[in-house]
Amino acid sequence: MDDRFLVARARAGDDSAFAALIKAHERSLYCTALSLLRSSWEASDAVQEAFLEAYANLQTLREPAKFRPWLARILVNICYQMLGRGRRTVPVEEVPERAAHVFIGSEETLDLMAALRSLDEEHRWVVALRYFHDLKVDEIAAIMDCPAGTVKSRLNRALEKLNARLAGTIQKEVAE
Amino acid sequence: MNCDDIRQELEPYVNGELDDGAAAQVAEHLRNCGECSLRYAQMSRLAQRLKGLTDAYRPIRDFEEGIMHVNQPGARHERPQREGFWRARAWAAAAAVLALCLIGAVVVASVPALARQLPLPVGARLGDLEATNKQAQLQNRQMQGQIDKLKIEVKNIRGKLVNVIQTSKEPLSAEENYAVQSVVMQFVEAQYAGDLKTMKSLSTPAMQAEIDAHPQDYLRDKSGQVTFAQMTDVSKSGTTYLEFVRLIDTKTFNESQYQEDFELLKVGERYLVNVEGMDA
Repeated sequence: MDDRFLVARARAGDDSAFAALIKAHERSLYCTALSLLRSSWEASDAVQEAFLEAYANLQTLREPAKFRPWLARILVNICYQMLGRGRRTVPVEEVPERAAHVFIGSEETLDLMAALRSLDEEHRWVVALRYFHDLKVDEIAAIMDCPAGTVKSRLNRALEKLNARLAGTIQKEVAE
Repeated sequence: MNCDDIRQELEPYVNGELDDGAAAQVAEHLRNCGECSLRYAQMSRLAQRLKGLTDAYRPIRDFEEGIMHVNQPGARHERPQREGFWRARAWAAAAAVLALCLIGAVVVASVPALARQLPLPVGARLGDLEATNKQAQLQNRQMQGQIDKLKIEVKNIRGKLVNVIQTSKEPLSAEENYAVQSVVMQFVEAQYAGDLKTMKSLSTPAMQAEIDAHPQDYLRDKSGQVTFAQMTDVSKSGTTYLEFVRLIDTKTFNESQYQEDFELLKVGERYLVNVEGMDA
């Protein structure tokens, strides 16, 4: 269902519409957070916090059609805060938790995520925003606060590095 | 445009973001240049795989049964209440919505007065939330009673005497407990020995990749000494074995304990670490 429609309904108080927005975007957010943060626990926390902020501030979103980049920007800010904070600490009295997502992909997928996580932070950001959130170069530039040309060259560089780090698997697939 | 110019445009071309004129130029070049054409094919494949990556992670929804389930001592591994986190939020009522579809097990300890004044749909849900809160308080009291009954035993694991606290509702066999706890203990010792090879030999391929990507997140200060202050007995959720260890570290975490949370999978006859995370 279209984000604009869901955002309008959520703003009118329909919580099931917000739940549908969560379902539509949680995997993208999780993959982005996982590629940037240190653990699946942190990634789940970041996603949770991003949706809470989005819910609380939904009325301030000027263009409902821009929900996707708006949500991505919220997540980016949260990830920056978490990265700056160092290791996450949890009060001792809390019971241990497990991550809120499980991996169900193939070994190749795992290699791809590992390769992505091994890139420089600036390259990880642009790849995540481009491929997990399906954002345009201009939208990524606005979020990252840098020129569109920089985003383009980072994307090119990141993909080249990924290609190299996947040790020929892409080349083989293409050859087949 | 020469090859260098074209290659700068390949990524936006793959994603359909060039205008018609530029796209036509790139297409024309690709028809006549084998090298760029190969790069385009590789980039397209990589883009396709990256887009598919989001399908590889599934949100866990089996804890939607809610607070009742979480507050069982045997369900310690499920998403816990996080009162500090939620209580601090004026808009904590949003948790009532998110809890259903994202986490499913959030307990909000109190509803801040400010939330009542918010011009959000939040206000309409306050009644529900307060009822949830009361229910949670009752369950917390019941849980405290259950915690008071927890059993602690001193066990010998790989020559070390460790307090083992029984948290699982349906304890596994002594052999399974010992096997899983031994793996966890060896893994922690390897973390402190700076022994990545041993850590990886005790890990699933997923965890091996994670260690390779971020070795520093898993290694501990080699000059420190570690003491196993307490371990839980092993609980099982689906095919995952859960073990939580409290450690005293003379170097990095001086004068305090910290916790490592482990998830293991049984592969053949071996138990392998699939996830390891540090808690305070």
